Amino acid sequence: MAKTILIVEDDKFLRELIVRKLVQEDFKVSEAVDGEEGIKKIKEEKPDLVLLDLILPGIDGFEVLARMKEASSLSSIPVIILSNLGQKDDVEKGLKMGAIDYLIKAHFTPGEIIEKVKAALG
Amino acid sequence: MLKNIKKAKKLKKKTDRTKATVSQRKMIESKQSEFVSLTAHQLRTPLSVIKGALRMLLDGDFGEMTTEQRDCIEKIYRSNQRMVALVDNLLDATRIGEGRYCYKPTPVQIENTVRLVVDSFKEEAKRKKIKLEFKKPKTKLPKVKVDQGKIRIAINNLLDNAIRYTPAGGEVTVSLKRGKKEIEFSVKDTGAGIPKSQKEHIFTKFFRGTNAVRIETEGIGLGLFIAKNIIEAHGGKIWFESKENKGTTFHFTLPMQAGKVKQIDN
Repeated sequence: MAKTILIVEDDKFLRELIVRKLVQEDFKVSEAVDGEEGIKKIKEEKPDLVLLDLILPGIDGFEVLARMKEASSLSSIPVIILSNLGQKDDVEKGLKMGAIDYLIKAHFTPGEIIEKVKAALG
Repeated sequence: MLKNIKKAKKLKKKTDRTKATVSQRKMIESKQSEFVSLTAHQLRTPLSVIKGALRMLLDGDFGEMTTEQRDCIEKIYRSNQRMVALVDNLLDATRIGEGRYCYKPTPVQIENTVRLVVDSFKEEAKRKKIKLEFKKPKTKLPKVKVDQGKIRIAINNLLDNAIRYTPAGGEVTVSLKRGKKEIEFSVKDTGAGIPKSQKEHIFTKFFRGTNAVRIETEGIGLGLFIAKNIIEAHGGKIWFESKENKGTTFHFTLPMQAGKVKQIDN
């Protein structure tokens, strides 16, 4: 069965590009435009993986990640952070909080992001 | 007596004024760097999306293109990459200025780092018809404790300049060897060279050589400033020899013993 990926990203164009790539690769895709919607969909849909932006309107990505890790039913869902924040401290913070990977947007193309998703899902 | 008091008062006024000017200047500088940092961050988002979209176009995700269309998109992609690099440089320079540039050293096989950077320039060198060579060290080098990401930026900036200011048919040679107490890196080019009168300014922030500006209008003069800060924070030295119209060689050293890196945490 096709795996479901939830993408939490407020930039519409980037979201569309990644969704397009994921659909091409036969993934089922769900979208959230902010942290609030992200948390709601993670709880309701229990996706196989979450692609999470950090700077989001309202609840930011770190907060989404923290809430996921607090809930036992959600804590095992793998999260890949996709962010513009490239400082080592941000990367370390994200990984320490339990994200399995941290991709800096300017350094990864949608194709490479999908490769990381595939690798994470084994 | 009265004269002396008057004099003293006048002096105090002057000192206060100087103090005010210094703190005002500091405030303006900090506001400026805050502005640059914010702007650069804001620019990064659309630039990343443009990069992603262009890459998908080139990968054929939106269907086939004619050769002409592909050439054009490739040029846009390269220009966009330049912009991403410029924004990254601006952010790095601001962090250096604010003392927020973070160094986290780990033991690194420096030869691998150099090779990675050299390989990343192969395509560009080929396109510009420049012979790019990496002279490996004769003996295996010991691991050095450095911040690999930052050292990569320093090497990248030196190599980027060498390739950028060397004309077609020229040569760029990178070499790495073991010195007595340090590892020695150099990149030699047969490019434009640095005019004698400008040699002392070459590592200054936002400085660009007059001949460099003529060759390439892009660039804001941050690459060498950043490289120097990175190397010196590692306890190394950076210097160059250059002759106008003949070429330039940049050298840097990195100490082999551990614990030399100035560690800065945010």
